[in-house]
Amino acid sequence: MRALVVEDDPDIGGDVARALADSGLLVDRIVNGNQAWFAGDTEDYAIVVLDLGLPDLDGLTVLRRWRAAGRTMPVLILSARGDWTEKVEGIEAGADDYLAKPFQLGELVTRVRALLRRAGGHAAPLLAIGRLKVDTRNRRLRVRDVEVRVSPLEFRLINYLAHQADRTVAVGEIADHLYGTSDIGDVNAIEALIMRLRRKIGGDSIETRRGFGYRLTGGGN
Amino acid sequence: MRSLRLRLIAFAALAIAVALWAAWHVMGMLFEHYTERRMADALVRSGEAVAAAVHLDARGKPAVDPSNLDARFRRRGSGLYWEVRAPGLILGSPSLGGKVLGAGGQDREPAMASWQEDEVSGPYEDDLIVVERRLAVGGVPVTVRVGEDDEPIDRAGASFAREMGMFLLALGVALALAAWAQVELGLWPLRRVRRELAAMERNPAQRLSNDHPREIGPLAEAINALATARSEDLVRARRRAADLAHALKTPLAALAAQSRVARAAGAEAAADAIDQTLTAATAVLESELARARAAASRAGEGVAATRPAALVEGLFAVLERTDRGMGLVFDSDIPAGWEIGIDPDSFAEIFGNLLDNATRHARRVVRVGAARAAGWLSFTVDDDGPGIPADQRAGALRRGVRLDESGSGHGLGLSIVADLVEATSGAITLGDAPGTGLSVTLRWPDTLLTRDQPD
Repeated sequence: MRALVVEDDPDIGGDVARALADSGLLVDRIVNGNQAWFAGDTEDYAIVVLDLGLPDLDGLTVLRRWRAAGRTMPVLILSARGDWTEKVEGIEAGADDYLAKPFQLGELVTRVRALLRRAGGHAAPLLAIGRLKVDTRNRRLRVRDVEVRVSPLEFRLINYLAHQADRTVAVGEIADHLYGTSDIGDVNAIEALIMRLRRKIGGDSIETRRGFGYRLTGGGN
Repeated sequence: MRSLRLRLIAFAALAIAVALWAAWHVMGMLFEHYTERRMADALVRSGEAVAAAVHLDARGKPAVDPSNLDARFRRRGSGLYWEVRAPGLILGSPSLGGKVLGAGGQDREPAMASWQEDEVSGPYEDDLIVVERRLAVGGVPVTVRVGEDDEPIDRAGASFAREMGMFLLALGVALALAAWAQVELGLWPLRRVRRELAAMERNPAQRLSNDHPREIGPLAEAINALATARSEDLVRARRRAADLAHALKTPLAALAAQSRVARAAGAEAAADAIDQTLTAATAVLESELARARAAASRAGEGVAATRPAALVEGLFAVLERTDRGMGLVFDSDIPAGWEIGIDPDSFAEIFGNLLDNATRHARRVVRVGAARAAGWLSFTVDDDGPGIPADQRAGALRRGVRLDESGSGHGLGLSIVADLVEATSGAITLGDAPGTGLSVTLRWPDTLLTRDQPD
């Protein structure tokens, strides 16, 4: 698997590249925004580690251009600022994770592995239920062909329900799948989760069967 | 007297009182003069009648035929008298009751042709007004005097003064009210300036409006210019501090890389020393940045309205990607149409740190609630974790105190939040969430709500 490290500081860039190489990735290093944009746009990387303060073209712009061009590889942002506004901007520009400088190299590697794990797997890539399309490979959800941002937990729930093909799933079973346990607090959490999902994908997409559980219908078309 | 209003009203009241008092006096004098004139005219007519009634009797002495004269001349002490004097002879009206009219103040002899007016003391009363003239009846020189009690004039004068006084008093009250209204009207624009200044205090990005009256316009402009200059200075200072802090972060990261190189080469002790220094330097940087941010918030730098619902959703998106956040439900019921006058950076720092804290401790759910009641906007950030015991809550808000040593961060999270909340004129309290967990409540005056409507 190939990884791209975009960082203009030679010490940090070299360190990150070495650590990723040690964990079995084939690493390309780039120190400038324009080159990074070009490389990410034309090559296939399994993961990108992207610094925001770059010469020529800042990291956020590079990321936005990649996403606008339909590049979906996971991107971990590195930044010196580390305030919340910038974190939100980074995630909204399409980043998958965010790490503020200075950071522990071990934490970076852990996060990169987590991103790679999330991006991999799932043989059946696309499930269609009503007006919903569940992209299990890229963990994205579309409603009437418009992408809707869902959290990882929300995605896990909808993915699970989508795989139950029209079956009503009991709350306890959902809790068991999401948390590995089931108690009264989990029931409240799942109710809150279902309510949030309904707000994002339409109230009629998930049916409540009182006393039985929930069923994903995907609503009408 | 420091109040402009009191000063203006007091001066107006004084001026009105002096003017009305003078008017009352002058009008009283004019009235008295006028009534005396009228009485003197009436006396002259009576005098003419008396003069016409003077004739010489059979002995050649002057006598008065009373048959055509005013009836009051016949009633003793009636207040109306005549007296006719000739050499060796004084005749008086029956009303005199045998007394004579006192001498006048004038020494000279009365004129031949015209009536002269004088004041004398009367036989029964204090003062009389007297008219007199000389004439010749059949060659005998005669002086005719007619006097009348001036008491009715005094009475009328007093009554006039009383009534005029009442009227002028009412007029004075009306004028004072008008003066007060004028002062209030004149000071009204200042009240607006004060209101706008109060708004500026709440939201330092606000400026005084530019449609003030011409007299106040330059003052408003000067205040605006001062506020702008001050906020620009603060922006510059804050940028310099923030730039410096940011600029130091990359070298610190590079230093961390060097420490790893040293560790890999077996220099454990050196690497530990570098790491310790790095941790200390990073903590100082973070606290300086937090302080700069709080100061900027206070100065209202970059204040644009924040849409809390969208901003909190953005923070959820960041936290949902963290290891802890990945398994949690994040829920918010902030009304989508709310817009509040706190700058987005401060708001993001406040809620980012609170939500980060909640994410680290929550078991399943992190909830953000919002409500508007009794003049306050209140937000709650609840988790369903273990919570903080009541006796440790106050300490949790102090700088440098950490309750949780396991997570990342520099122990500044909650104290940064407390600083920022205070800088944006809000208040923070820690409590119990429903069920279990920590509930953080933030309050701001609801005047900060700049918009409340669904799109």
